[in-house]
Amino acid sequence: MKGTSMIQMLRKSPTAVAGSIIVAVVVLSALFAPWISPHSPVDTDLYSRLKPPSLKHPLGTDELGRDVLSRIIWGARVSLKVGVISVSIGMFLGVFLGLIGGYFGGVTEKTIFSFVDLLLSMPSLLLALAIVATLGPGIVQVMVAVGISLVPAFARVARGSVLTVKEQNYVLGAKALGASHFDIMARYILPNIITPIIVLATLNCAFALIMEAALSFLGIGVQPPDPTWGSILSDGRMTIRTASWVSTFSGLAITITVMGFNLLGDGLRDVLDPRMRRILQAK
Amino acid sequence: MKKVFAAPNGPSPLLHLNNVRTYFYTVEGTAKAVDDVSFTLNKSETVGLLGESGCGKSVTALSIMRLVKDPPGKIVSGKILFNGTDLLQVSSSRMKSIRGKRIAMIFQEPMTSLNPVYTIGDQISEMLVAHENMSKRESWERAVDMIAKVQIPVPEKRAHEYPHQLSGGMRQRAMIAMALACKPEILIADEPTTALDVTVQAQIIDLMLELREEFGTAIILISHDLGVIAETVERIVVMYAGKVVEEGSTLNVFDAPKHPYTRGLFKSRPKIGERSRYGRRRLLEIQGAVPNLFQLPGGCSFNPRCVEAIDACRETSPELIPMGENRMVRCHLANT
Repeated sequence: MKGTSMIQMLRKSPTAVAGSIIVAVVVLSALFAPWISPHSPVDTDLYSRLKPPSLKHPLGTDELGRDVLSRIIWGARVSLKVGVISVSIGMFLGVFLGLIGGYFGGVTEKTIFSFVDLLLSMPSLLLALAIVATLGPGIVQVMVAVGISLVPAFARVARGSVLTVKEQNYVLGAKALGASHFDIMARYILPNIITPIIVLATLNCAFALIMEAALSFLGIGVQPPDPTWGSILSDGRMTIRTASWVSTFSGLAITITVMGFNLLGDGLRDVLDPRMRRILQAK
Repeated sequence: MKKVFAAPNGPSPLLHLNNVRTYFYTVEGTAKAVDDVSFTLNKSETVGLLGESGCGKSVTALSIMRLVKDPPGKIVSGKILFNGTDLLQVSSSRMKSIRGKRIAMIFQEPMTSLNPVYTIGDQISEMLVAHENMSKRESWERAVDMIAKVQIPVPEKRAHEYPHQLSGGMRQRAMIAMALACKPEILIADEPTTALDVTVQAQIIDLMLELREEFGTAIILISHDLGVIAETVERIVVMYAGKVVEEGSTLNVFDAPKHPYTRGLFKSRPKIGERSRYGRRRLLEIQGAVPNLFQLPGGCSFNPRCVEAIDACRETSPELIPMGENRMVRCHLANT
């Protein structure tokens, strides 16, 4: 019942609709990549190197004659996987730390948050670079690196919300009726702080996507021949004067998807914020 | 200084507070929110804690539950004997199993006292699962039973509703259902009707009294509302600035209040029909305001506002003086 009304309200927010459509298209093309991509993403064809967009190759070919459209469609798989999994890593760790720190306060909070602030003080790309440099390149390492660099944001947002919620009457009420710390955190605090977390997760999917692209662009992310948007962009860099389509279209894929996630995140924030909800309902 | 209370005659008391002191340590100084409070609650008895805002009623209740926020609050000394066991000495896990199961508490704000993300049926059955080791289905049936007992119509349907779908009165009923689900021996109700309108107030009070009959639960009712207290409780404990100033049966206290503060409270109540007899008359009030707990006046805390104060009141703090059966007054002038 709560779910349907939320979807109905999402439909009234134009940004949320646009964002959901973009994200849905990307997710569907990633899921159905084997069926919808016109060519193999890794098969080279040296007779048709750097061909401009044509009917056979709608987005042209790269310097090894691989079909750019197919590589972008398959690249969506990797990019989304990295986005979703690294955001999940960051979210679970961050929310866990923020919840524990915010709820117990005192020394626990100080210890956790001096560590979080230490992470926060480092630029996230540099942090991710350092982690990948230590663990070695590869898709799992990229997920871990991006995930860890997202921890501080989630921990801070979670803590802030916990501090408000834990002073609510129903938390005191729950204590007065014998709830344990675990009960209170799991049943009373977590469900009531989930709204800003969901919004942050959506927005951070976009960030994770860019980080993956950046790491792959720098050559320390996902290794060839697996296509990712960052590595396609990087491959096209050499030939950008003669064959601009390789970098242009992979860059566009990143831009549009990031925009989609941001629009969806903003829309979700509006729908989940009770004050905005009233405005949307009035429409 | 210390006065040890003899347990009243008859059955051994269910709950006995003995010289409890709860202080708050802040940058402004130490606030003695509960200062040497002693009183007794017998099995299935109703006792009212009466006093103005900030007099320490709620902190007394939170001290019994051991839910005083620490820091800055701390229960400094005293004993809270529940069936003979000192609650201040038991382990925190033992305390957790007492809260809700044997001593339950409900609060003033029914609007915000329920978790907004679960249905009320869920919240009541959760209590039963936690305290009574019931299965999900069994606890749900009991929850629906309890919702029916607190006279919420169509309980099977209401159990599936969220707090925001219920009115204030309904929510307070749901809270009472939750508090009584495990049949506790004591229910502490902290201003349970303050946020509700008058007709609903009366229903909630009636409901609490009916449920007391049914479950044999003793009730500590905290209120500043003389009307609510008079209708509900058998015995009154009046508090002022962290101290008990008067104690006695409701009838005795209302008939012949001994402490100037209690008398002031009663006089500051509008009475229907008075105007016709005496003509238009200004409502009496107690002069001044509740003292700042950081800077209590010397001697009796009430002396700056007391119309009858003598020199002794400014110099020494009076003791609680026994005045006949179960009656105590903290006033130098009590015997004059």
